[in-house]
Amino acid sequence: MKQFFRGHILICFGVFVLILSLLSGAVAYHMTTRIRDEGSGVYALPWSMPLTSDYDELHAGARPGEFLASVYDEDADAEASTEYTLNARGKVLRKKNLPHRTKVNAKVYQIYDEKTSCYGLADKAGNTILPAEFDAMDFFGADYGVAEKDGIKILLNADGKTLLRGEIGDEIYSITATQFFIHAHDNAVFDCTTGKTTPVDNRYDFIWSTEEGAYYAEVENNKVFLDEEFLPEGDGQMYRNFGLRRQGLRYVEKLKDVRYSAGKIPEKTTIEKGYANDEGDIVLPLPKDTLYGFYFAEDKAIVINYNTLSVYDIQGNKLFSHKGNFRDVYPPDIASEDASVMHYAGGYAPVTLECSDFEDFGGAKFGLLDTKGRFVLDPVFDRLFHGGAGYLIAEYKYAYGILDTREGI
Amino acid sequence: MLNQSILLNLQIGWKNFQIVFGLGLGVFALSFLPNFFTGLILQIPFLLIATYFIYKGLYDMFYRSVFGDGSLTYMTLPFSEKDMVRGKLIAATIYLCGYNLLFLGLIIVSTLTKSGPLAFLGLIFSDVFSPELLKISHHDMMFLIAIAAVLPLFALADAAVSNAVLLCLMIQLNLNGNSWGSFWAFMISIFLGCGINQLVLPLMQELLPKGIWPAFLVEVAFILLAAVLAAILTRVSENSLKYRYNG
Repeated sequence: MKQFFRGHILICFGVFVLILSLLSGAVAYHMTTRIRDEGSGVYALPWSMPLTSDYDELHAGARPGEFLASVYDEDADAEASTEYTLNARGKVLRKKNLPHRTKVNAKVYQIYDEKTSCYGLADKAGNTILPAEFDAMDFFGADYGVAEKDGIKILLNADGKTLLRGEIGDEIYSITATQFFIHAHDNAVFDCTTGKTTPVDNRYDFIWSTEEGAYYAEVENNKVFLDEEFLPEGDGQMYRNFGLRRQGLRYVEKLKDVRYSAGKIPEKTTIEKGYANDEGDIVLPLPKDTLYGFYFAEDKAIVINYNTLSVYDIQGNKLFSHKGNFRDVYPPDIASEDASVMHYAGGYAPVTLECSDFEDFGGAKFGLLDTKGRFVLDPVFDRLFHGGAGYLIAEYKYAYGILDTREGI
Repeated sequence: MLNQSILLNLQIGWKNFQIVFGLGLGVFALSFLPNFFTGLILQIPFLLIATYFIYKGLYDMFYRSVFGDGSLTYMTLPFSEKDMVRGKLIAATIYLCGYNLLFLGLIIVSTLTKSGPLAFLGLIFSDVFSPELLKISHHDMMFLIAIAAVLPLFALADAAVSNAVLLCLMIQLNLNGNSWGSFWAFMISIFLGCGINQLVLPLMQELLPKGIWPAFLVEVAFILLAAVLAAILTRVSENSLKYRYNG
């Protein structure tokens, strides 16, 4: 063999290159056919609006059966865009240009000066209300926002009037569209509608509100529900994390025997996980290795741990499980929309079995699960979420489409 | 005699190229670390050291046996200038091409095992090319497979032309008595190689959205051009050696 190799070195090398060529071609064939087969399966689905790369984003609209699509102006900053209201078939119902300015309300727009990278306010006609000289500006709802200039946070209304000016190092966070948490030397909550400032405990790092209107504070990376006076609610039970309340149940990670009033939270605590009732008692306990429980919908909830995605019914029975990989995932936060990403609607739930990040879902592939635990759509979509009225919004290879699931898939 | 000349030059280079292949296998193994980016950072010293040993190996094959301490022994061997030059070029091309193919093999293995750099490269491939692939015709798909199949030939042509340039420059610069001749020859050939890659690969990328066959055409044109250039430079090197040995 060695002798043959030594005598025919060029032939041997040629054969080696040839084998590698064939192997390389075979790999390319395997990859291209796999992508094409997957693609032809996806394109054959019941699309009410076929996949299109005409839009940069697609979301559910304000009315059932309506959708909001955005196209960003690549030459300008991300805030310059065209917004389309579409019906489920993809027909454009309304078109709105939002060039270089973001709508605050019907009369006022946020403006952005590309030269100075600063923000200001203008009316509909383009007349300046506040010159573009703020380093940052965020409006929460139609009337009130927080601007920043030279490191100082300013709470202002849509008329450009300063309601509150912080000091260097102070932070102003939105709790609701009209209530703001002032994180300063002396913490307070400012109500823009009444102009009233309510002093709150300095232990609070943040105050947020949930979709259902409950307040909660973050304290040393844990959470406590607050009443309307922003005081710890009830006995001040502390939680590591919790989700949205639906069908009378809320996913909680309860710090056992830890109350807000006890002062500093001990480093080592026992955490009880499960779904709690209105009284805060865990009625559907979950295993210790649970990572997150999404909210109940249609009597079912999706629960993930490090290597499984399970579906529970409202009696606490595990209906079925799928193997997954959520090892490196940081659990979703209730304040973000990620907390509601996986739930049933119309008998289907968009789910991912492998997710590296619940913030941007980088690399995650979504499929559609039915109530029996079967994947009626394989996990090949970059995003898949409920669009309301029996429609699903899907993102596949930089293209968006609307799937009609009303007649089933 | 060409076969003997190739074997002799393979032996001359083996001392250094076995280290190069060892380091290449190290890079291969590091690519399968769970954290792709940690692997990528750890690969950098491996690649730099491998480049140094490639230089040493080529230096032994191209310089020491012609101009250095091994030149007297080498001159007594019954090889014509033609066999000498071709033997050196083919041996060096086998080594360099083998090193390049190691990385092509890495992509093939990670594609088949769905692990390693594919997790990253596959993501790019899937995101960048997939939307186009979903729409391409059967005809274009065949061209795409052909591009992949011709890649080993591309690596071969790349290695051949780099070595032909290096050997030609080494002979020319050393004949002119430049004491840094080998180093400059190596640097110039590296820059030339990088320049070609910077020209050909982006051009192929540019052409891909316009159709697969123009990209395939560029790949084939490069291989043909490289073959012609390598043949011309080989002839120049042969003539230069004739001049060195026969005056």
